[in-house]
Amino acid sequence: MGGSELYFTQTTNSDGVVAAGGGTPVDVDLRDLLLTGNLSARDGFALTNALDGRVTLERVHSVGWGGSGIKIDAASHTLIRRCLCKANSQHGILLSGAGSVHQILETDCVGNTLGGLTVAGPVQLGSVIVRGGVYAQPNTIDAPAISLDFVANGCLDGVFVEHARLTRNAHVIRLGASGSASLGQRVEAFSIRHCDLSGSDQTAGTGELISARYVQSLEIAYNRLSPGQAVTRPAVFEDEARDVRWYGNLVTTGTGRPSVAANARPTFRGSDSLGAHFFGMPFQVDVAGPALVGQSTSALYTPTRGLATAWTDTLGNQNARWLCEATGTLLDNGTYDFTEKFSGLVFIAGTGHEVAIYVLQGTANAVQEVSDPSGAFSPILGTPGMCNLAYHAGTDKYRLENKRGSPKAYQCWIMTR
Amino acid sequence: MAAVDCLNVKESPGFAVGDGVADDRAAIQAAIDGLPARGGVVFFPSARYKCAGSLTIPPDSVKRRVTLLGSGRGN
Repeated sequence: MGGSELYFTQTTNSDGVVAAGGGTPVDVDLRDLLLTGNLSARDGFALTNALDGRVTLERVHSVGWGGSGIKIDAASHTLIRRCLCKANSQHGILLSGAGSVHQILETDCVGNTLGGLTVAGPVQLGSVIVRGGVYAQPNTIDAPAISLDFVANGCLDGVFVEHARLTRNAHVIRLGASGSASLGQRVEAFSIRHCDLSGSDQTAGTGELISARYVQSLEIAYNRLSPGQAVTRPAVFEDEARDVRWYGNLVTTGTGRPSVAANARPTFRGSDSLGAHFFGMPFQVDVAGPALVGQSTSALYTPTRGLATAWTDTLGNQNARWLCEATGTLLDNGTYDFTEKFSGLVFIAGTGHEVAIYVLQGTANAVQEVSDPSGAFSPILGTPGMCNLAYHAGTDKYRLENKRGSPKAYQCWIMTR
Repeated sequence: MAAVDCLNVKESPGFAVGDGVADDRAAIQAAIDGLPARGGVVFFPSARYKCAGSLTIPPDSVKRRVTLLGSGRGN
């Protein structure tokens, strides 16, 4: 025996630690306890009932309950830190009733049948912070890692989720996207940052990784997402999603090396969505008519093949591009083939005063030298002593060739469409 | 005798057994109830305490602050 275990053996409709009894407890503190229940217990909770203020659960293990690991009603200033709420028949943590200022830090809520963290109505909650921790439900993939289940009008505001792992769920985060969510049930000021939301490991189930309804001021940034096998989009927002900011998220195909999935766009449905902001991501708006599919207008940086760090800037228009290729050092007699048969202007910057401007004529397979004041460049491959830029029939590409007699560093800036 | 702020469940007033077999619910509840009105700590030495019923944390009007403090996770 390496610690303190409270082992509950009641079998029906019983809870473990009941914070109740003719009044409201304040200042309840459980630490360094293992709370285990009889697995045959039904409707039982490890910690339950009305609380009001300063509830601290630290290093408490709540395992195998017929209900939820931790159920807290109407509390404020709750601190749940470094707890384990595992293998419970309902939720890992269930917050219900009015309350505010909950912090759930570095807590493990894996393998619970109905979900990891659930905020249930009637809700008048505010300021919920989830930081760190694991909320995956690998055994019940349709159970959300974090969900808000509204059963009456209410508002949840000021929620911050960061640095948490919420994988292997069909709906990783579900914010009032099912059931009776209505205008009276809003989620406001919700931020999900730096989390792993990928569902690629699931083998069945449907749904979007993030689904939200009636949200205002929702920020989803710098997360890793995956469409999974059955999920077609990383996120869907329904009905008056206002001021949604979506940026910096990596949406992968879920197999092999991470790559941006073709269906990485979040989708808006319903009506009256206002103020959506996307940064460097595609999006789709599906509001009472044909779906509008677009590309965010801010800069999109896409790694491309190159000697070192080639990159692309769309300049806010898919038909105008400003690219950098051949960044790096070409050995003597070395060559670099451009990634496309560009049609546009090339600015070649070598070292010192060696700068030139060329025109590439796309599928015409021809180049024109516009300016070469240094006399170091040539439009004919094989010209000795020169750096040559010309069409190469062998590869069917425009080729940069170093015949200067020693390694040279170049950058080619291309204006094209 | 004045009530103390910290009670060991294996000591007075409950004398929990902590063998995982005997029902310690009454002993633990007695320790919780034995805390003074200002509240305090019920300490659980390393052991397995069987509870055949619920433990009740009294309301604020009875106990101002209740801490159940173990000695770490059990095996």
